[in-house]
Amino acid sequence: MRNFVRDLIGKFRGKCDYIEMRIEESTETSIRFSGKELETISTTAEFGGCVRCLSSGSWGFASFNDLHDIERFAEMAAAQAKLLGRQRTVLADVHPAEEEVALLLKKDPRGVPLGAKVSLMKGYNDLINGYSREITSSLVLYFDRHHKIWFGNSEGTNIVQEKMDIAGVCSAICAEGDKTRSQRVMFGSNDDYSCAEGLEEKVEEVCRRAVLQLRAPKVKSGRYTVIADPTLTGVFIHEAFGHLSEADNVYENKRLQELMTLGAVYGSEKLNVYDTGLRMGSRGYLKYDDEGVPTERTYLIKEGRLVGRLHSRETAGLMGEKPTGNARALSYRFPPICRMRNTCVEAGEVSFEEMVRDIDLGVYAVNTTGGETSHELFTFGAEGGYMVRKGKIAEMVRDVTLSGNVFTTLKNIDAVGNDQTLYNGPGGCGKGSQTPLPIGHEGPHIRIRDVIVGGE
Amino acid sequence: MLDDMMEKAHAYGADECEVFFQEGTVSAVRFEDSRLKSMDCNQVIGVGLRVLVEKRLGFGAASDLGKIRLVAQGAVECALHGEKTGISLPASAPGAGGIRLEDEGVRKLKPEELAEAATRAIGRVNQYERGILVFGGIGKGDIRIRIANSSGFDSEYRKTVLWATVGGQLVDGKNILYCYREWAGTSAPMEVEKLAERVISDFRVSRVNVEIDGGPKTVIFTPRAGVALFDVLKLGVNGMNVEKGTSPIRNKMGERILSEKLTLVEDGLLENGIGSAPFDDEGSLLRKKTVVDHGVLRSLAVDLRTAPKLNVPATGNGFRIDRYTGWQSYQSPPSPQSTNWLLMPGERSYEEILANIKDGVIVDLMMGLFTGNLLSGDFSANLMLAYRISDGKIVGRIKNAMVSGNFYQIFRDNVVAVSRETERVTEGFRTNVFPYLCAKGVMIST
Repeated sequence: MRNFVRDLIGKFRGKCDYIEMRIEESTETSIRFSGKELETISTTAEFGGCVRCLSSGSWGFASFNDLHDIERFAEMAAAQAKLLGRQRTVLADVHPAEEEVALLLKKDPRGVPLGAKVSLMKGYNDLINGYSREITSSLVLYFDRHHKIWFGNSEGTNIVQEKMDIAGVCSAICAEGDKTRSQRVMFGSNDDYSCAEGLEEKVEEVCRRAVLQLRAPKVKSGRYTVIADPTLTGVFIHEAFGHLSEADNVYENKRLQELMTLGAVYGSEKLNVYDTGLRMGSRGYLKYDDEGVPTERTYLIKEGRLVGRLHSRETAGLMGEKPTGNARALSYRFPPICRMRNTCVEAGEVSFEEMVRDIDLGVYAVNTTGGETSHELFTFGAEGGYMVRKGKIAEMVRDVTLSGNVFTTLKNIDAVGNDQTLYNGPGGCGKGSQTPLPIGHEGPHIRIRDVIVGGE
Repeated sequence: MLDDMMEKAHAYGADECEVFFQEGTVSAVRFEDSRLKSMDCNQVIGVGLRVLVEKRLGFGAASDLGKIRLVAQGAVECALHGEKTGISLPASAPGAGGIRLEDEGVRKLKPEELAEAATRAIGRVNQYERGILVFGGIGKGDIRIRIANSSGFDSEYRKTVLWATVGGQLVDGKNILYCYREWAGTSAPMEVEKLAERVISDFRVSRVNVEIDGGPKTVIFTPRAGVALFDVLKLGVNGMNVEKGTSPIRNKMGERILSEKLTLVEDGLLENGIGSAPFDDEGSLLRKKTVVDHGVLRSLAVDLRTAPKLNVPATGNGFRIDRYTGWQSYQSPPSPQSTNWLLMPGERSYEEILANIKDGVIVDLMMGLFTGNLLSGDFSANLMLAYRISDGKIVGRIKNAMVSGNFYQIFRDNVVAVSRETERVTEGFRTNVFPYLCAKGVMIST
């Protein structure tokens, strides 16, 4: 296949400024319990490829399932790029790579029989459904995906990369009258099936919390000092700053560039943020991105100042910055765009107890239900939380959804915890139609002043 | 190919099977930063296979038609671990039912024409304001769906799809404003210029930011905000959530669940609706039905799997929808999904409703709605695009604010008015037609 890619690129090299090709083969096993029932059990096999051509600054892209058609699609991609191209082509220089990236797995899910995976998930599902009468339903999801991707471009890069992606969730759902509450434990990894094993205690904890949530009042709407737990910190930084750091927002946007010059102050001095492709164990682990660029640890914020952004070769080239290996595609059906990998708030020095101690009235928000951003404004949901009153964790509350503004909220982080947790869940990052892309988060507890909390 | 797959499934031990075949080409021009950035073309070929072994269900899917044998084997293995179901695969093979889903005009559109339409949209928005960076996409698709099963169903339909998104971003000091509009249908013409005009009028009213105090307000939800919130009801009428006991309206058939002012019709055969089809992704016929009649719950969305459990016939709501993109996909097994929803218009004009609000908010675009506990109806979302109403007039954009409440409570007890104007709103694989909805006492947090 590597030669096939090389030969085809050779054939089309002269027809545009740059050409690349990806062929992807993947298999997936998926198990989904809903209530007491095994709702879905499936195996899928995908095979397809794509060609992307760059001509005078515009791209032509064609994806296909039938490899016999590849030359027709390559012609089409080259013609489409030519049709749109009106300006100069610039791609940041990258040393051509030739490598076969093999998997380094701790425990390979492909070695676990389907029946054993079903039994493991059934165990969790039975645990939830048998926990107490308040729990009326459940959702237990597991999947593993194996990808093999061949990549080549007209500059001589020729890579084969294998990737593994394992993730899932166990949710307990309570219903009483017209009230419905759910709580969940999530897991995920790029290299270890064990992440799905031994979750019984966590599942029981989730059940306990779900039942308590039935009685918990809604949080009162307003502005609060909020402590985000490490899971929520990850989603917070992903939405609050990660997406804004994706250079495809900025590279042809002069006004945003003025706001986002390197060195600009975005956070308090306590804040350090990076995005990395090199965190083994994270679903965002990646040796090479989908442009064949090796990944790295890319600092976005150091001591509150903007120091970097997440680049594709095009955005790095046009901004005169270094490519970072952040061009990622959901699958062969999509062109790569600037995306995060594993995004991290670096641990600080404050203990959780110290953070709580000097809050008069606040919210401790735990776990995540996801988030969304429009760059300036962003929102992130917690699965639940606790009020903090006079320096102590007080009663449980539900439906804690928080909102912030990129120009103020990061500066309002006044304490960064001394703990650090890697978070992987079964969801992923969404951008345009490329959802869900596997990513990870990592972070400590953080304390943020003056956060809008929606509620009653 | 479908026969071959069924044959292989039988050979591996399947008692019954069903093959869903999807084939199509989709192409689109994409623009960002006010220039044409890329032209994409995607060929999609794939099959989804469901098998029953002693009534136990297994599923497999592949885009690699060379792996039909492996898919059949995998699906049967899944079925051996699978759950017993009461599914009975439909036998009849209906025709296309007279609905028009194909348009030669869409098929004939050339890449150059998509690019020209995009250039016109960019030009129009930038004519209004050069500083706006225009983004969006204009695309078309030609799709074929065929379903065959071991009960003798074998039927197919073709559908053309045309869609456009036109939006713009304006950075003004530390103020980042996004406005966009979308359209999709099965037939041409697509009036991209009209979308551009809507975007311009969105920008016109959003340029001035105003403050607002938090608290309960009278709110107008625009058609697209209404569609986003009615996702709650989609979960509520989903047969699976009813069967699992997690839907709060599980026992409310024939009871009033929403305001008497609200009548909701599902029309799987809607003219020019992208969610329209002669039959669903399991072969059950689609039709028009009332979901909510003057506030009273009248029907649920039921697929072949949930039908026997709820002891009702399948309603033509078994679709294979990718849970993230919301599009039809051979990779997803069927589940209960509502199709095109039409919320019936009221009697008052939008202008009249607006003129009667002394202090209120128009909610147009919300962010993070999905992070709430939607099953129960509780939502809390950031106001990405919302306006303050003062003495019957829009006075400016409000931001750094949230809207929250319970869907069932607001749309049962607090509906003040429903506009007589309606708009088409595309959402995933559906085309919805919604009016403006006005409700009182909706919590706004600032």
